[in-house]
Amino acid sequence: MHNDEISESQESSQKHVRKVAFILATGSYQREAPTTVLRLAEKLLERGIEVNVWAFEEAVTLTNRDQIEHNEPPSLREVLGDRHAPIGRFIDQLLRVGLHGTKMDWVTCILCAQERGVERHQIGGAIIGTLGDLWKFVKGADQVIAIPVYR
Amino acid sequence: MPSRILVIFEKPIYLSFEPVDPHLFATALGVADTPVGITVLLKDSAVTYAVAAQEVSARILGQEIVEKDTSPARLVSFMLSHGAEVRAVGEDLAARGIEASDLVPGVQVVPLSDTVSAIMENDGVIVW
Amino acid sequence: MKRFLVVESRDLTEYTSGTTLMSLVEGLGKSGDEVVLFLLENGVIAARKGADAGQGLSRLSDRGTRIFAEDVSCRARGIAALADGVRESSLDFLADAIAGGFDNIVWY
Repeated sequence: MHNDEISESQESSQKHVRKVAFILATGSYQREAPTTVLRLAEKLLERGIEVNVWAFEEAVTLTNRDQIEHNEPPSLREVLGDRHAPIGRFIDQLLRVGLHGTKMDWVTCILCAQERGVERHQIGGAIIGTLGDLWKFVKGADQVIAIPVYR
Repeated sequence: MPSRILVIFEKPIYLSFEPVDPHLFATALGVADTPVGITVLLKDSAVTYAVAAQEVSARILGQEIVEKDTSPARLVSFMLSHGAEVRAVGEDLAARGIEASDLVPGVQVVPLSDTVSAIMENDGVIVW
Repeated sequence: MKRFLVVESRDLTEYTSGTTLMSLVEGLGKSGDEVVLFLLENGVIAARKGADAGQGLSRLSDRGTRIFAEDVSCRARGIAALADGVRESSLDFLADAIAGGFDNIVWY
């Protein structure tokens, strides 16, 4: 970290950031972007900044509660390990942070969830929402971070 | 029936909540568990998979998301030790400042123009 | 003075827009506004010492853009040394910078 850089940046800022909206359209297991969003969301929550995530397209599968922690293929276990944690578990835990601290809301686009058959399979903390929620998040945010879909 | 397959990687995927890029371990499974002869060609940004010193690790809420100490480099070593050929395009390595001494031992540095002969030598091509 | 954050998550070497991104960053800073270029995920590949794109990053840095490469992304890709003008950084730094507020965040 470069604290000198941080203080220099903050001195020149006119904004007081209390709410950040993420727009996320990519699923996991093929992309690093959802991992980055979760890692950054945790850092923002630690700083008392409210986080809203609007998940659509493949990102609606991130909160599928039926993700199964499976065993890896036997012949690859020496390099892959026995199993790995699904991403939904980490989203669930970040949502629970809000019980006793700054909260994160995670809204799953209903249209995308229905298309993918995961509307009724969302983890408890995820909220099924609409495109209208996207624009309410954008309008209400001090900063908007939109993650592109490519790759 | 194809017995020799060329597998081409162009875009690297890290920290996706899989232990490594799923295309890498799908390829490694073919190398370890089947009689198919596999040649791996790393090009474009995926030449980073050949770098030996990769340390893949990230934490969320204090928990490591890569539960096993693994990396694409370990998969490359694994495939080499199980009989695969692994090649990396020299021009793409040079453009990214990667030197031959940075690579997993056994990885061959080849010119981009060799892609043509590699396709001709194999019965099938998978571009991930 | 305005403040802009540009985040690059792709390998600049692999996309035509990699060069236009550098022009964009330079353009945003031309009026004396502050620009932070933060490289993460595959975006750090261009910042490896000796990479072709690193020369462009060094030039941007010389002209006043502050450029950072995220540590976790660098370690994952075996990047130990960075191009001149690029500093290793972290998501803690990025979160602090976002908390400080930007007039715009552009995430590629």
